[in-house]
Amino acid sequence: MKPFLIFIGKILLVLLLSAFSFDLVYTHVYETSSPRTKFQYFRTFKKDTLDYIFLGSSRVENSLVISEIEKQTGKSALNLGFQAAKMEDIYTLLQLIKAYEIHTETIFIQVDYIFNIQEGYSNVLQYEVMPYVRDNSVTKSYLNHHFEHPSLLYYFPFYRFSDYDSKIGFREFVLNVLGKQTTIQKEKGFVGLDGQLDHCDYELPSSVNEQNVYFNQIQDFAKKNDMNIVYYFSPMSLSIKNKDYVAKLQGKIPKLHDFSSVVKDDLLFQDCTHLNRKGATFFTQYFIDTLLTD
Amino acid sequence: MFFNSLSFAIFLPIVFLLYWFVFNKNKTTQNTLLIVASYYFYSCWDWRFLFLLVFSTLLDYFSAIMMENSTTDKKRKFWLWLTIGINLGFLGIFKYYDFFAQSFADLLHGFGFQTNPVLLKLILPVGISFYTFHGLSYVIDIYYKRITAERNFVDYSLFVSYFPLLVAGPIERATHLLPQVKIKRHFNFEKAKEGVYQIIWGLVKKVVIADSCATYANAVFDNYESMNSLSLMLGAVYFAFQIYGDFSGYSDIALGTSKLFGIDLLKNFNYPYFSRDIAEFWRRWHISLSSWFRDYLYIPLGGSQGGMWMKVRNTFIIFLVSGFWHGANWTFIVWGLLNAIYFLPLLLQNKNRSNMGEIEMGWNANSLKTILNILGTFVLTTIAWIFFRAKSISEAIGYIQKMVTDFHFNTQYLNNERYNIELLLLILVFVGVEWFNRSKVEPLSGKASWVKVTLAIMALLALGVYSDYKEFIYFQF
Repeated sequence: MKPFLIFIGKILLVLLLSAFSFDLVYTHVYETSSPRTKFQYFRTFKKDTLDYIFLGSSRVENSLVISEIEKQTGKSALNLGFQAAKMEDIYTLLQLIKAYEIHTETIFIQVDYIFNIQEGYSNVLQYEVMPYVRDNSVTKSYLNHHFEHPSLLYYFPFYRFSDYDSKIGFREFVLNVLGKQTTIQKEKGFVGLDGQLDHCDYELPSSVNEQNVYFNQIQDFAKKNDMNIVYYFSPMSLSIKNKDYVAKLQGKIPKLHDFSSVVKDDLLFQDCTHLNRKGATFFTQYFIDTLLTD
Repeated sequence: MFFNSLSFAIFLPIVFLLYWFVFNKNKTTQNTLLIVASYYFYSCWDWRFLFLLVFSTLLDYFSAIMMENSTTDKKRKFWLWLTIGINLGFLGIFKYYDFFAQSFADLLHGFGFQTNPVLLKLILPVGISFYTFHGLSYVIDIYYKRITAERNFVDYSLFVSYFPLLVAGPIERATHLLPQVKIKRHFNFEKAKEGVYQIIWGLVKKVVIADSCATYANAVFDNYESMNSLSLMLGAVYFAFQIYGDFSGYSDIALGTSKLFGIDLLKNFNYPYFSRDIAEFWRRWHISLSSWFRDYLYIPLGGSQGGMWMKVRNTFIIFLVSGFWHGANWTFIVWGLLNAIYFLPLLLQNKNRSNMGEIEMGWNANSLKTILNILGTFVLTTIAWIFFRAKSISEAIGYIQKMVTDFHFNTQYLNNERYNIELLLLILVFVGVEWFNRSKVEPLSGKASWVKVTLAIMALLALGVYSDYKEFIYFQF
């Protein structure tokens, strides 16, 4: 039996050493390669300046054309909207702006029905953050919050790359090594949508929650760190129901800029709540004229 | 608890340590531990079905004794058919009732009668087809007096419920497994080492090959209407490797795990995709099931005795039953029928046993012929797999029709954010590894084993599919 236990011990050692080596190599590649994901791109601005940062969900990601903003205002900007992002994701990104020492002039935060969602997070942001779990306490606590066995992610070498292999596994690693570009860097976080709204039967919530803990934390954090925050509500198709939700939300956030009805033509939407490319260009211009022009 | 799960990675070492260090006193203590472990293993799926397993064990155990104690042939026959009836009855209710009820209703509908069949919609107990056949082989062997009834209930229970083979085989024979559980096992380092190599290679087949192929095969099969000829061909090839990696990987892990407890199980796969004709394929694929049908269905039906007609009839019967064994769907029946049709020319020319020896290669025309035969057999098998994988016959026909009529061969981008062609290199490497090690049980043992084990572990870590967790295909049968 003893030789067998030694044999098993050696296999476990090979497993551990392989996992450890892979972890080192993958982490290094994700930290140093040309950015392919939005979060990777965001990290490249460490200790740098970004005049405008736009935070929120896909309703930000798909609606603000950064190249237009930069061209017309002469300021640097980044669209940091993530698919399915909730208030907690926004709070995390806000903390990371501070942790990465990114200097900003104004941070625009899109708030809508996500104010009513206390729990929930963007799985896109989750896997994009995964390679950087050891970056700082913010990334660590963000992943801790959403993972069943966070210690495996943090301490078990290579676990996170295996567990999220379809997103940050071998294939993505190779594409990083080869330096294959995505549109993230070129579009500065903006992701345009094609297609037009067919029909719309979307309903906003009938009431606004008493509070959102993460929203409160965002306000406290911004105040404490002297961050200039502007809240706004992105456009939605005029056909959606319970539109008075916006007014109710303004009751909670008096400084909320309501852009919910500024796009009146349904042909500028891809679906009830997301603008298409044409709609994004239209709204970006409206946004610049309203909030970014002196 | 799947073989490729974290819970099994915890379960197995615990049972192993208890087996060799705590319950190693005699074969009864060893067997008792393995039964408890097996019942726990099985109950991890659904503890309620444990009663079914125990009932099946008790039924076969007592029937066999009653059969052996019977003084007349009539009584023996009674016990045999009672056991077969009850075992197949359970299988029929759980697995086939809804299919027959719905098919009958569809048939009546075809004649203009409107019916509303009562469907049970039962959950299929995991492994029921395997342990039912397992038990049936035992009672049939007793009936034909090939073996004597096992009187020790603990030993018999282990024979039925031994966890490495419980949920997806191999379908064991009492003549092979019972003698092993009737003696105390002593630890054998070489055998245990072989077992570990086999487990590692089985995992590579499952999580690297099968699950990677599944990602692509699913993307193609689920959207076949928008796929071109190249994608559809690749989708079929990917599924062929998915099912091979999945099931043979499972079997390797089962056999390897069993070796850790000093018990050898029947070999279930022997590099089937290197077969030179379809008859050889069926001698190399799911061997324990093929040989089960041969011994307990084909031969009792008359086998090859009685002339060519009987031979053809019996061959078609076993292929159709084999197809139906896999699942209650017409697609499996057509899959079985297709294989029978492939088999027919060999049978008619008496060539079904012409490729019995090892494959020998050299730089000559014969080797070229062998390669072409292997490729031809693979193509036939892959076409049959399309029916196995498709949700319906019309879907399978639509898939094949599009594959052969589309005539577009450009690389397509799949909905899994990958190109349809990306996986081919990995498959080619895998085929190469298997080809050069086809004389061995697995490729990791032998010279430079540590280098090979290290590469296998690295492949498992870097190339394994873990996020899109997939259970073993054969667990549903």
